[in-house]
Amino acid sequence: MKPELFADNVLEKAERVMDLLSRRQELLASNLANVDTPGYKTIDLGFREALEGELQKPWPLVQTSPGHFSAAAPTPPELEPVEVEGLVSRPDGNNVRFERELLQMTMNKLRFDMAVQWAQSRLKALRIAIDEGRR
Amino acid sequence: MSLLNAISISNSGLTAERQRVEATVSNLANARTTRTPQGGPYRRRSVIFEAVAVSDDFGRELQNRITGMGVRVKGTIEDPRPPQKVHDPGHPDADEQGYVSFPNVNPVEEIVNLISSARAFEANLTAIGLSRQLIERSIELGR
Repeated sequence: MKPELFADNVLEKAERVMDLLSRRQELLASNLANVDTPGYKTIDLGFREALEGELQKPWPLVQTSPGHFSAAAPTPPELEPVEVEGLVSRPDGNNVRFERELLQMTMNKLRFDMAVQWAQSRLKALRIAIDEGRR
Repeated sequence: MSLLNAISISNSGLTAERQRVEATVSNLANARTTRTPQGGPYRRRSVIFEAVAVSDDFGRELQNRITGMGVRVKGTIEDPRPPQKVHDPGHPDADEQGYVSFPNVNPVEEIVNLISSARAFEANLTAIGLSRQLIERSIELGR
């Protein structure tokens, strides 16, 4: 039986969020590097709403024995990069707005920091539990 | 892995913009150069950017996933626009009709390109800083 400290999968969730945000950072870096490339179109992770939804979703059920029911919540869809809609192209076909990319990168980092905080506070609780348990 | 790619991508942006700056300052320095070793006035240079994959992660290619793309200078071309002809019969490089061919360089256009390259360079630098911070946060997490 898993101890209470693992019951809500905070570490798993934090890791998923950090992984997604890292992939997003790569796409944003790509947009910035190609701000002057003719014909380049801005890309980002698709299903951003799904990403937001993922962050608010209730925690999935943990199956620690074969008898447990599986969660109704599905695993998150593979968030594939897509072209961003609604951006105006310049005459050379490029539609990157570098201020958008920089803003998104900053937001990305803030979300990343949040996820790191979740993970860190959970790890800290674990350490305290381990230390207390030694006494 | 993504974060390391992000840094490679931003780095390619730095290199490409630097090369663009080099072409631009060459144009500015030679805006009034009427004779060159090849004969004729200086011809304006410009660089062509193209998006390229910087990831050498073969696994990704197999999965056919779109990844971030870096950028590189495909090549340098000479501007095909004709030289600017100015009537100045006294000039040593004047032709039979008394016209001097000056380079097809518009300093205003070059300065705009210079500013644009500079801000793109700064943006890529900022991106590297942010990617680096994400990596550092991840490392600190384990401590």
